[in-house]
Amino acid sequence: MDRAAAIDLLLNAADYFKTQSAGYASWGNVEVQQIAYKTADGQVLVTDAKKPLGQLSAADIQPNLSPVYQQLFNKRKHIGVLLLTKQQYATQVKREIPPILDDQAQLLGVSVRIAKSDKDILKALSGRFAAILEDGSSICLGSNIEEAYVAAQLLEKTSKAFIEAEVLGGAKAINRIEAWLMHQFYLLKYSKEAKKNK
Amino acid sequence: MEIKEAKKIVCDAGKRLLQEGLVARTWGNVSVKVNDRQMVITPSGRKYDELTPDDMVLVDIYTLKYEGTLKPSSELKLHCEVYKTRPHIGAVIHTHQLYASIVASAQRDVEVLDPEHQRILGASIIKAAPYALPNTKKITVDTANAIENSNAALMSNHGVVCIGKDLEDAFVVARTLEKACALFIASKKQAS
Repeated sequence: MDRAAAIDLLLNAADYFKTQSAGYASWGNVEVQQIAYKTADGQVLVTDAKKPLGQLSAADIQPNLSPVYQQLFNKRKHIGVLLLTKQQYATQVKREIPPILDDQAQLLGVSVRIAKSDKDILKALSGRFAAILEDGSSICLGSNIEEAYVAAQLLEKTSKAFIEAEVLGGAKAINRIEAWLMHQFYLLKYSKEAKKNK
Repeated sequence: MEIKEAKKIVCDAGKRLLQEGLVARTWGNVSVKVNDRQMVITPSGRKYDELTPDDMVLVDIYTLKYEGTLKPSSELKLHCEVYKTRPHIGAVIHTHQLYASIVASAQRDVEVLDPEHQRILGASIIKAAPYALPNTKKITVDTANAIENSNAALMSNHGVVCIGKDLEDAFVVARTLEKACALFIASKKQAS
């Protein structure tokens, strides 16, 4: 997608998320605060985190990458979109979530880590598609805006399960090697489907 | 039931799963039995809101052979196992619905507290099948066994399977199971 089309997509992102969120109503509230979007020529456009998505103008979308975002896009070549989110349940999680659900393992990776500082974000996201930050916000990744938003919603479902299962004796983790295998299988299947749909 | 009618019903049911928040994306699956030997099931890896009745897949319950170019849902073995072991069943729904998933993540059976929920679910305890990797023989057999004489089972760390004499019936079971799980969790919170 070229720069003009990408800006148009970002200006309409609030409406897109609103439409999509209906299907996840019971999972918790996911508010997207900022989007970083990689265009076809490799430039990354970033929305102004201080403005609500629905009030953005084109001037609020600039290639102003923080060093952390820059490193992330440089390192993870298949990532096209980064969402900075504030989520009802994810924000309450203060320790690593092990693999407790198959769909979590498939899509988000072996676990959801907590990044203790900016320096820690890349490490927390290594081999993973979501991480929770020390300030309670989250970073969710995807090859496109739809994938990144699904990652955010799935992070919310996983966080809710992790928290609410406490009264049932706690969520039981599945084997990490099996979780890793499921994630790899998902990535392979997804990349095949993406190629087929090109 | 005519195959054409079954394909329309299953296609519509896939969209309903999505609308009712019982599944997201391409997760979950639905089937109906057409006759003693065949079922129609949703295809693998397709978005429900983009499906047409022609995309639904006709499968032989005993040989797992299917017609057409689209692959059936990867969970078809579970559906076939349920139909083979319960000839009176006409529909199967597999979902990743939220509250049942929470209980499944704790690998706990569901204590069904409401008598009306017990009536619809057919038991006062809904069993959780032990964890096994998706689409394996173990998860297929263990889940079908965990249903016992009820209308549903949890699949540990994964989701649920709900059954009914027809799809409408199976939907009622899925919705009721969700309410029963939410009530079970709320009762444990209150007790703690």
